[in-house]
Amino acid sequence: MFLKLTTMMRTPKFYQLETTEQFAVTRGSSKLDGYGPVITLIVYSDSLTDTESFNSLRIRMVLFSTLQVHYSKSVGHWDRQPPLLLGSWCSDPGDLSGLILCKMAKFWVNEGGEEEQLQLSGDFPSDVLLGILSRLPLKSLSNFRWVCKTWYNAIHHPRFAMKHYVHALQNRSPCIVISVDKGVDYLVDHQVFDNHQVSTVPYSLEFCVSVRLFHYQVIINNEDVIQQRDCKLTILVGSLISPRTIEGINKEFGTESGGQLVKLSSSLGGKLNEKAFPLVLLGFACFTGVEQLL
Amino acid sequence: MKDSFNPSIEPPKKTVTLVSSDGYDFEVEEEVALESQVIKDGFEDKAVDDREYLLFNVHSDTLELIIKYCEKHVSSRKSISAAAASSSSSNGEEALKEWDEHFISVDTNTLYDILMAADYLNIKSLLDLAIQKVADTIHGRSPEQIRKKFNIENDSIIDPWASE
Repeated sequence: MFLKLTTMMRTPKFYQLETTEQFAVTRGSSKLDGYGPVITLIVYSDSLTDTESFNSLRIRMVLFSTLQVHYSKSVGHWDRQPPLLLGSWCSDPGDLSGLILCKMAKFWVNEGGEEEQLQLSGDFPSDVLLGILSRLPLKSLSNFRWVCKTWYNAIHHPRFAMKHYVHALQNRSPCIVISVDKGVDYLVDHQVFDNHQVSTVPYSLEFCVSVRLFHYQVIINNEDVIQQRDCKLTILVGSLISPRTIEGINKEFGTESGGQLVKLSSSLGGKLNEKAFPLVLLGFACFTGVEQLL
Repeated sequence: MKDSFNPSIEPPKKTVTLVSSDGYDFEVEEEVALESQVIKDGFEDKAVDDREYLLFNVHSDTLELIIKYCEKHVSSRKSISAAAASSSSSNGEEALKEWDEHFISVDTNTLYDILMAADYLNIKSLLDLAIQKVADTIHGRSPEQIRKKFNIENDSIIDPWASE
């Protein structure tokens, strides 16, 4: 199922979405191997060029809940396992500055229509293995995907992503910390996860919307907390996003530290044609010293 | 009315027998055995009236350690709450943490056995302890080292270091 939804946004101040109810549904072309239905939502807005605030976060939150509603309507409810966001919120490079494209898919729907349970075999019971892995930093995880199939599948499983994320949140131990600097455009490459090329080299990333809106320099710097200069951007990896999650994180990090939250996302290891399962990176960034940036 | 009931006399402590996979009996106090959620569930079910539990997956060497752990935790929980009741300062929790740390500092095989037993018996605090220990141990290792450590067969589909 492929679904297009054109949505107009009124003024950036209200962030209200008015659905025009123009759905174009096509079948067949977007069936991904190992996935359930995919919904693509395209949203046009004139407010996205607005750089004066972090409003895009709110816009995205609204978009997300809209997406949820439409997903429920057209595909049905998700019960235990909400769909993951596939791909990022990204703007078109061809200067369609108001375009946001996002996709949503329900993972692990097998032919019978039932959710496939995470199956692990071998040396650890699945809960134990997940427990162990969820306590590891991203750097190790990236490595450990190649231990064996079981580990690979476990690390790429959405349920693990959630578990890892929750664990990181509880322990206040962000998986990746990214430092933010003024003036230069560095972003995190989603290939970092694949190639495990962290350390000192900065990578660029395809967070189109975030970059263009905020003009950040983001340098991945392994798992050390960087206290470089004024700004600190913390990204937590591997999350399912629901409004409640966002609310929770806002409480956890946002108001307390005086920073603001920005949702970043990118698919990790996303080689669909090679039957690797993309893991979605959903980062919540806590910015401090925002004023200096803008 | 007869007043034969005297609450000050404590009944003799109830014991449970745990039988290891290699056939050894371990008699432990009931409250120690109840550290295991599995045994506790059995108790609460009331369907199980047995005072004997056959633990098919736990070797006597491991069971001995597990019992040691449970006894320690039961007794130090008591002393901590007693200290709290008399509002005297106590570093019981600190001490217990240290004890845990020492307890879990074992070789890989033993750690693995403890981990599996804790999972089987569902002793949450011990399971957490063991899982954390494993995570700490493997942190920063290479995939090859992990495979060797846990005797895992390399069936990885993609190995970025194998090609190119």
